[in-house]
Amino acid sequence: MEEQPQLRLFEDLAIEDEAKSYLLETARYAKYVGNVTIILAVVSLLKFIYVMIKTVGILRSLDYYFSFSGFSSLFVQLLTITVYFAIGFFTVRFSNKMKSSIEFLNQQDNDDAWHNLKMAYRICGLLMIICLLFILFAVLVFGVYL
Amino acid sequence: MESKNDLLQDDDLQREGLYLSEKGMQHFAELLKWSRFLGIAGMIITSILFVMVLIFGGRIESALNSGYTTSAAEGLLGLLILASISIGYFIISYFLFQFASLGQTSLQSLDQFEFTRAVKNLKKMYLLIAITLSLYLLYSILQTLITQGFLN
Repeated sequence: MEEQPQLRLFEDLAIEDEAKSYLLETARYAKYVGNVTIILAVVSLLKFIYVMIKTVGILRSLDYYFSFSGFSSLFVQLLTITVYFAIGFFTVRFSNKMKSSIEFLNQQDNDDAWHNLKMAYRICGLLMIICLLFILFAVLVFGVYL
Repeated sequence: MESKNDLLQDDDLQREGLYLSEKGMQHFAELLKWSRFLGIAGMIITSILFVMVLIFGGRIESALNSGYTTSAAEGLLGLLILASISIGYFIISYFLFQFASLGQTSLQSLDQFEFTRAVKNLKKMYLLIAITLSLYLLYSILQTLITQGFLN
């Protein structure tokens, strides 16, 4: 009787053609989503700078920049814009790398693509944790007073 | 009988295609963890939001009387938008959760079929995000045009 080989030579997960077509489509949508996110972040930054320039006299007279609320408000706004830009940036990079990995069967690009998507989701996850903490804080603080 | 060299050659041929390498799998595994967390958190938050919409839906009249909304139509529209957002975000979170669950199974069993199903869910999620983002952009442009008086 012929012996069946039980030897597992590689512990890799092959990506079949159907998955490749789904990944290509995902890359196309992700590119759109990433680009729109970057554009929205840039527009928000420009709007932020415009408002700051327009109201610089009033804010300076109110000592806004050196007050805690003013500084934290500016910091949070800039941080939010940066975070959105980073998410968009990593999503676009995922898209480009995934597309090139499928088109040219480039393994390195495939690894990089997953790395970039992981980075985007890590940022989203951290953002979600911060939001949940804020909600919890609000419920605990204001829930007591209600 | 097929010799070990033949097997090696066959697998070398297979490896000419695309695959998830050990490094890729590590990234993919961490991606799945974050996806699962985001999916579960998203589904819980949207469920709470939807329940709140249902609860506050019955209070439009009291909101009108207390001056929170100027018209019943405005209040209903606001609730409708909130309900649509919560349903849309719930579906996105569900696809993300499905992607994470199927991806986890594919990693554990090295199953290509499960991997394909996982990626299909990822595609659906991005498609839905793209549609939502387009609607948001359209709404923002229309709002800007109306507030700037271009459509008057």
